[in-house]
Amino acid sequence: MKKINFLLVAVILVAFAAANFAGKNPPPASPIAIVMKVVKDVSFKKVNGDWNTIKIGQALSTGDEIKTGAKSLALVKFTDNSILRVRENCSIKIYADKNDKQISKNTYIGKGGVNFEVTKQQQNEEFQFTTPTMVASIRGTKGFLQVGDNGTVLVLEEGAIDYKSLLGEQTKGNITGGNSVIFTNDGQVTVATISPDQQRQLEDSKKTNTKKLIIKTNQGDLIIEYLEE
Amino acid sequence: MVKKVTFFVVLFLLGLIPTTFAQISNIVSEVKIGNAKENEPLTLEVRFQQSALVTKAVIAYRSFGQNEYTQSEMNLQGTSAFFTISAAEVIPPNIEYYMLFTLTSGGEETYPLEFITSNNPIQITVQGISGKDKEVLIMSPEKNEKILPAEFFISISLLRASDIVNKSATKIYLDNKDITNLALFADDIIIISPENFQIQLKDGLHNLAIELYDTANVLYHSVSSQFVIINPSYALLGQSAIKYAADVRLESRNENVQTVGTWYNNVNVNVQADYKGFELTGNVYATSEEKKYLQPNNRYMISLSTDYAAVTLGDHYPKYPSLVLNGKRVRGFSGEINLGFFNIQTSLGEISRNVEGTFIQYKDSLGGNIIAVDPLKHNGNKYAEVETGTFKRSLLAVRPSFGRGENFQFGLTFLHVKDETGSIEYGTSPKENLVLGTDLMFGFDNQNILFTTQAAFSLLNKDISQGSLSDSQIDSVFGPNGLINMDPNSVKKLRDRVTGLFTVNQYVTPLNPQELPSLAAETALSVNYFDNYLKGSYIYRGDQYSSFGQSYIRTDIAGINILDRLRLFENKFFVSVGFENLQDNLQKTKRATTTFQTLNTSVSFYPRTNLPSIIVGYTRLNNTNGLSPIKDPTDSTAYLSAINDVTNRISTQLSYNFEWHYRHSVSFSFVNSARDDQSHANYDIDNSSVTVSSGTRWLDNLSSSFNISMNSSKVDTTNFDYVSLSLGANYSMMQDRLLLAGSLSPSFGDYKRTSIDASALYYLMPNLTVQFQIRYLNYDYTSSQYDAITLLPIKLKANDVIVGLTTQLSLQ
Repeated sequence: MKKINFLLVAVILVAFAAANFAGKNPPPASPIAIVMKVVKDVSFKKVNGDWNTIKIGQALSTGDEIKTGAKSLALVKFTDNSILRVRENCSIKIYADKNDKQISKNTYIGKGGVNFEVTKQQQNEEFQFTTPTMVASIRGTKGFLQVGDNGTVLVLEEGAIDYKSLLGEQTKGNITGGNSVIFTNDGQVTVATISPDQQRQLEDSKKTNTKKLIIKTNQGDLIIEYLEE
Repeated sequence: MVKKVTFFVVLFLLGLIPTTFAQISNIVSEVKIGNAKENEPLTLEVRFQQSALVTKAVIAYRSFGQNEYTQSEMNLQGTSAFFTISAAEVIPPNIEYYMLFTLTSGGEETYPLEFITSNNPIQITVQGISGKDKEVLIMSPEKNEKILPAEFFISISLLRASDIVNKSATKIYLDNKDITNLALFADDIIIISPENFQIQLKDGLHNLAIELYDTANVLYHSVSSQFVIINPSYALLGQSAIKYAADVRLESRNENVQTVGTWYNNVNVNVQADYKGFELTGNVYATSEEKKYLQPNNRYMISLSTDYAAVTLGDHYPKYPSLVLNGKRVRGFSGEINLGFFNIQTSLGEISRNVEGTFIQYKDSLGGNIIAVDPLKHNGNKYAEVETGTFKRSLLAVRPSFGRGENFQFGLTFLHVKDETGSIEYGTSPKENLVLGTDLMFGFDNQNILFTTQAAFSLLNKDISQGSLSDSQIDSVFGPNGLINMDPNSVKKLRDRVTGLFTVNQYVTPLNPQELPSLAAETALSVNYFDNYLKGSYIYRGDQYSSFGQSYIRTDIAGINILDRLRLFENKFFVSVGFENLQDNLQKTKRATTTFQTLNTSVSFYPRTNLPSIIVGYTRLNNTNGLSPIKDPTDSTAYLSAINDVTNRISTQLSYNFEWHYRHSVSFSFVNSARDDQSHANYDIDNSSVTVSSGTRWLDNLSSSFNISMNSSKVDTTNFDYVSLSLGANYSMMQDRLLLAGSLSPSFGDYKRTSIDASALYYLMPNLTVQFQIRYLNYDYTSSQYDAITLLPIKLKANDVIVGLTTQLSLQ
C-alpha cells in the first residue's frame, strides 16, 4: 500500500513539475527562499546534487530538498515573506514556478512536521503543500502539518485552506481557522475542531528559540545549542 | 577641482541666505525627533540646557486639519523629557507641536520661545506610506530584530519590484556605509552571507537602507529598517525561557549657573522581560532633585501584560476616552481585562501628592492667603497667613466596554477625583470632580468607514473643606431668599442621591445642569476610499465642563470640523484641506459670541527619489464677535470687548538628501505669519522665520552639521530680531570605541547667546559606556520673565558651565 502511495505522489509531483514547465525552457535556478535559522542537524540537497550541511543565509531554488535530524530545526523564508518552520526528523522539497512577479510554490513534505505562516498570495499565485496523502492550497494563513506513518494531520490556526485527499475517494473540501483535518492512508478524511493536543502541537511547532550549554574546556568553550522545549 | 569649488560655493550660498530661523530657547538645548512615518509611533526627546530649570513639561501637538492641540505631560527625566505620539496620530503631511514648560522659578515658557506671540508651532514632516515600500522586502534582519553578530546576514527580496527597477543597481547601506560590494545578486534576491560580511558590528542599534534605481540609473525608491545587535555573552545568559533586556544609566552632573554650583545625580533603570507570552516592563528613575516640598521627580513603574490582560503599578499615563482621562500621570494602579466581547479597565492612584504649605504668621481675620486654623493646635489662634500647599489628589477611573474596537465598541467611563482634605494643614479649597462618560464606535470595511462618538458630563466642587451641606444649611443657602436661587428640595434630593460619592454644597458647578454647561461631546465620521480621506466632526464643550483627568481641554466651544486629504501618484503627492467653524458663548455668559474660523491647506510632494521633498501650506484664522471696535456713544464699553482679527500664515518646507562626493542632507523652511488685529487692542503680529540646515557624512567616522537661522518678529510696535548659527561635528576613533562630538552655537541680535558643547563617549566594554559632557553658555539678553519688584523684563548676563559624567550599562 505504501509503495502505491509513494508512486502516486511521485506521479503527482512529476505531473506538477511537467505542467509548470511545459513548453518553456528550463529557467535558471533562481533562489526563491532563504534559510534563516538552523539548529543542530540540518542538511540540504540541490537537484542532482549531494546532501550537504546547510548554513544560515543559504539560498534555496526549486527542486531543493531539506531534511532535519532529531531535535533539529530549519527556518525557511520565501521571497514573498512566507515562513516554514521545519521541525525535527522532517524532509521537504520545494518547488516553484515563477511567472513575472508571481511565484506559485509547492512544498512536498515527505515526513515530519512543518509550521507555516503563508502571506497573502497575489492573484495567480498559490502556496501548496503536498504530502503522500493530500494536497492543500493556501492563499494566506497559519497552521501546522504533521506527516506520519498513519497519514497527515493539518491544523489550521487562522485563514482558510482548500484540500484534496490523494487517496481513496479523493475527497475535496475546505476548512477555516480553528479546525483540523486528518487524512489517513486509506483515504479517510476527518474534519474536527482543534483538539487540546493539536493546539499544544501547534504552539510547540512555532517555537524556534534555542538554549545554549557552554562547556568550558582547556581548548576553549564548547557551545551546544538546542531547541527550547 | 571644479566640482569641489562648486560644492563649497553651494555651502557658502546656503550660509548667505539672509533670513534664517532656528528655535532659540532659554531652556531647550535640542529636540531629537525620530523618522516620522505614517502610522508609526513617533518619539520626541527634549534635551534641556539645565535640568534644574524645569518642573513640568507639556507637549501640545495636532495632526493636519485639527485646530485643537492634544496636550500631554512629557516624561521628565533629568536633562531630558520624552513623549511618544501614537501611530494613529502620525498622519501626513505633518504634525505641528509646541511645548510648555513650568519653571522652577514658577514661571512658564514655551518652545519655540516666540510661540506665545506668534502662535506658530513647529512642523514635523510626516512621510506617507508608499506603495513602493512593498516592492522591497528586507527578509533579514527583520525590522527591530535583536540578533547575534554570528547570526547576522542580510537578505533582500525584490520579487515585487517594478519592471523599471534595475535590480542589479540596488545599493545597500549599513549605518550609512555603502556595503553593496559585499552583496550577491541572484535574480530577485540579494544576499550578503555571513561569510562575506567581515565587518564587526557593535552592540546596539543599526540602520539598514536600501536604494532602488531604475533602468535610467535614477533613484526609484529607498527604504530603511533598524535592527539591534546583541552581545553574545549576554545573549547566552538570555537563552532561557525568560527573555530580558535591561539598561542601567548613572549620571552625575555639576551645573554652575550664575556662579552657583549644584550637583545633580540620578539613576535610571529600564527592564523588559518576556516569558511565555507574559511581557514585563519596568522603570525606576531616582534623582537627587526629588524633594518633599515638590511634586515627585522620581519615577517608578512596573507593568505585566498578556494578550488579554495588563497590570501596571507606579507612575504611568492611563488612556481612557480623551474627554475624560488622557495624558495625565497617575501614581498607583491600572489594570485591564480584554476579552473582546467584554473588557474592563480601571485605574486607582494619585495625580498629585500632598505637599505641606508654610506657616507665615497668625492673623485676626480671613483674607488672601489667610486660612482658618485649628485653635486647639495654634494656641487659640483662628487664622493664619500661609503659603498654601497642595492636597493629595486621588483618582479612581473605571471603564467597562463591549466589543474589540475593530468593528464595534461601546464603553462607559466613570471618573472620580478628590483632594484629601486632611492630607495637609495649610491649604485652601480642596476640590472634587466627578465625570461620567460614554463612547461608541462603529467601523466598517477595515475601518475605512469609521464612526466615533463620545460624551461626558462633569460635576465639580470647588471647595469640599466643609463637606456636604446639612438640611438647614441648604435651606439657608438655596431658595428665593438665599444666596443661590434654586429649589432647596432638589438640592437635598441630589445630595442624598450622591452622598458618599460626591460632596454637595454651594460650591458645586454646574448649578444649572439642565442647560448642559458641563457637557462635552464629539462625533466624527470618516470615509477613506480611492486614496481620499474625508472626515467630518462636530464638537460641543460646555463652558463648565471640567475633568481633572484631562486638564488641557478647550471649553465653551462648539462647531464643525471638515478635513479632506487626497493622495496622488502612489502617495507621493498630498493635497489637504481642512476647515473649522467654532463658536463660543454656549451658555450666553459673554457679551457677544465669537466665531473662530480656520482654513488649513497644504500641498506636499515626497518624490522618494533624488528630488527634494516639498511642503507648502497656507492657513487663515479669522476670529470675530460682531462687536464694533469703534467706540459707540450709546454703548461706551462695547468696543473694549470687540474681537476682530485675521491671521494669514504661509509655510514652506523643503528637504533633500543627495550624494555628491559625500552624502548630504539639506533642509530649508520658511514661515510667515501676519496677524491683523482690528480690535481696540490693535495687537498686530508679524513674524517671519527661515531655517537652513545641512548635514554631511565626510567619512564613515566623521560627520558634520550646519544650521543658520533668523527670526524677525514685530509685536504691536516692538521688534525682536535675531540670527542663530550652529556648527557641529561627530568623530569616532579607536575602532569606534571613542566617540567625540562638539558644537558651537552663537546667536546674535536681540538674543545674544553662545553655547559650546563637547562630549566624549568611550566604550569600556561593548555594553558599558562612560560619557563626559561639558557645556559652556554665555548669554546677554532680556528674558521673557518679569522682575516681581520692578515689573521690568529680567536682564540676564552670565557665563554658565555644566559638566556631566554618565555611565550606561546594557544587558540583554
